Amino acid sequence: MTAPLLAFKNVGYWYTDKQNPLFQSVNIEFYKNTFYTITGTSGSGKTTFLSLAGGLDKAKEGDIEYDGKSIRKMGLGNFRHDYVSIIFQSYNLIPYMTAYQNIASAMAITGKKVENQEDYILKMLAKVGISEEQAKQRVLTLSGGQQQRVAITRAFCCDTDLIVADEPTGNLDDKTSKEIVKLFTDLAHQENKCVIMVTHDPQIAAQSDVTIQLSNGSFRMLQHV
Amino acid sequence: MNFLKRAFWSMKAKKGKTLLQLVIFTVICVFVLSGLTIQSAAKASSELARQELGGSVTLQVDREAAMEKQQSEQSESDGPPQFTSTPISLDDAESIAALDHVKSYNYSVSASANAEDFDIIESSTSTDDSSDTETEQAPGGDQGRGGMVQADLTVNGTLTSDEAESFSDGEAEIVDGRGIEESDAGSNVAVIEQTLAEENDLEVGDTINISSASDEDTTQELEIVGIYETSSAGSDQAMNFSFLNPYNTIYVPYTAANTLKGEDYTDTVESVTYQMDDAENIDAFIAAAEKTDVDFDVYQLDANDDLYQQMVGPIENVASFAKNIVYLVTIAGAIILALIVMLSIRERKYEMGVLMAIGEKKWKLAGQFITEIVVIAIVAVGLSSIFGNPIANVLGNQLLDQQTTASAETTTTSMQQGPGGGGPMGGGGPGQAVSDAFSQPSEAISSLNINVTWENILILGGIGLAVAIIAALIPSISILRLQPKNILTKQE
Repeated sequence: MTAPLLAFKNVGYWYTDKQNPLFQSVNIEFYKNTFYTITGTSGSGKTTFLSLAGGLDKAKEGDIEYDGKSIRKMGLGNFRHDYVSIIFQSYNLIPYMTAYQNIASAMAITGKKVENQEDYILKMLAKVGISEEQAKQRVLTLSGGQQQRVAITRAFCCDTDLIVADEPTGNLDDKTSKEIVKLFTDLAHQENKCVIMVTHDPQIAAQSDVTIQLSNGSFRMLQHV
Repeated sequence: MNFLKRAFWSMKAKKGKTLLQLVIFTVICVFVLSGLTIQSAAKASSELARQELGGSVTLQVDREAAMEKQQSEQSESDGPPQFTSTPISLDDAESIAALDHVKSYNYSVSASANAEDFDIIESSTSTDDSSDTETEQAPGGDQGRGGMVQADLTVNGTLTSDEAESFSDGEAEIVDGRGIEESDAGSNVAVIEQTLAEENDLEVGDTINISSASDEDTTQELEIVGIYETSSAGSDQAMNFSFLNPYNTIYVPYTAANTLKGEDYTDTVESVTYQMDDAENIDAFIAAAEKTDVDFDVYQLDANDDLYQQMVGPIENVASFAKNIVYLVTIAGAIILALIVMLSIRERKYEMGVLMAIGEKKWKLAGQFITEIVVIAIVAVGLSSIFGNPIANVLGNQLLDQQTTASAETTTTSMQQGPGGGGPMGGGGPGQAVSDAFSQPSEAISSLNINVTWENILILGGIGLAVAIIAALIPSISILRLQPKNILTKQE
């Protein structure tokens, strides 16, 4: 059996009151080549869970390991820098940059190097339907769907094994949402990535390999065939 | 260095903000550079003036102390008050001359004499037999004894006539032969006025005979070694007294003047003027002189840097004002810029959150903001070095004009009030120097040669960089303390 890419080990989290935790003693493992979705009601802790997985926040107790190493020990900044790409509902693109510059910056930050970077980025953007002309426009001039595709391409170009996405289709129409979900599925299966996506859309959840349902601090895993 | 590229992209994308910051920074830099340039130009001018003028210190009898002593002695005995002047020994004079900062020195001995074999230039109301109807109070040692003697000539004994006040002021000028030199000490030579020479057909190489005003038996034969021309009109009293007529002043070695005054005055002088290497050293020189064996209960040292003070007064005010401009504009500019940068960086919290979420190091984020403002600072420094020079010239000279006018008004008031008593012995001395200084307000430095130097630009660059870094760093630190999750959560 392969080792998990990311493992939650007895993880607990609370905001201010330890006696009233959001969740406690969570033990979940995430593997490469798998597309996970996390669902749950509002306030169930989906985004917090994703923040812990993406290294944006620290677990209050327990540990999270990436490839067998504690992310607390390696430092959350280093973890984000080296191993994870995060996609947010609001795309998280830098507004004054073009699509191309957003991706080039992220690649420079994470140290991802390719030959002929410009061609590579334009090719990757073309794959998600962003033309060269659009690639060289300021991202704010692109539609929401196009911006989310740029954000996904940025995550893809950074070539991290772990991609976490917080409701990336939340602001998009159905057609675009389906295209985005298809992109995530392809990323997981064709590029051997571990994709963890928060969503409240059961139809999208149904398209993932595994759905983790959060409810009142408990986690229930559903394997989709 | 990716953050440098991001800084460039950011500046390019936000042209309006970049331009606004550039304009503000340039204005600040122009003012700071103007201040620095005016300051250095004023400093250079005042240093030049100080080096050119030097300044002098005069060792002479403390007349006030001597008068007090006389008055106390008078109360114990009958008779009119008598003022006894104690001449300065050459040993004392030379011991002070040996101190640091003395560029040169000159002795002054005033005596009175009568012409034996030539005619003096008569004043309009003076007569040969004036002694029958009036008594002229002549300069010299005998005056100190209360004697009222008849005299034709003022005899100025000096070490070098070039350094005698009339000559150094440009009032008197050698037109033939030479002046009195240090090597003339002990010899009987003289420099006489051109009008007196022409009146008596005297030339360089001729001799004249004079006798002491106080002792007719003391006569001297003097060889004329030089003829000078004076532009002095003399005092009002010169109309009544021949010896006050500037044409009747002759210059001799101090030893010759001492001979006329009598044996008691051998190896003494009335006053010694020490020229300083720099007016700035006057206080140090006086302090050192007071530690010598010279009896400062009897003598005093008078600093004479009035001309220097008058010349550099306005310029020092300008320099001081310029210094304040530099401080004020730098501090105010730093605050204004810091606020502008702070606002713009706060607006960029989201960007910082995104970059941190990707894994960007915090110092690189701060580096990006600092780079952006430093690039603006460099361009602003460059622009201000172009515009700073003409602006500094206009500003500096306008300030100097105001200061010079104010100084001239003050001078006029001072002149009306009078600078104080006349100088000792025939109108010379420091009192006269003060009067001369006040009578020449035009000598104040009236324009500044303002040029932006590399040194100014380097200082400006240093100030600009410091302002830029502080302005970017303070707001960055506060934001960098936040976690990316907090930034992005609040943003969303």
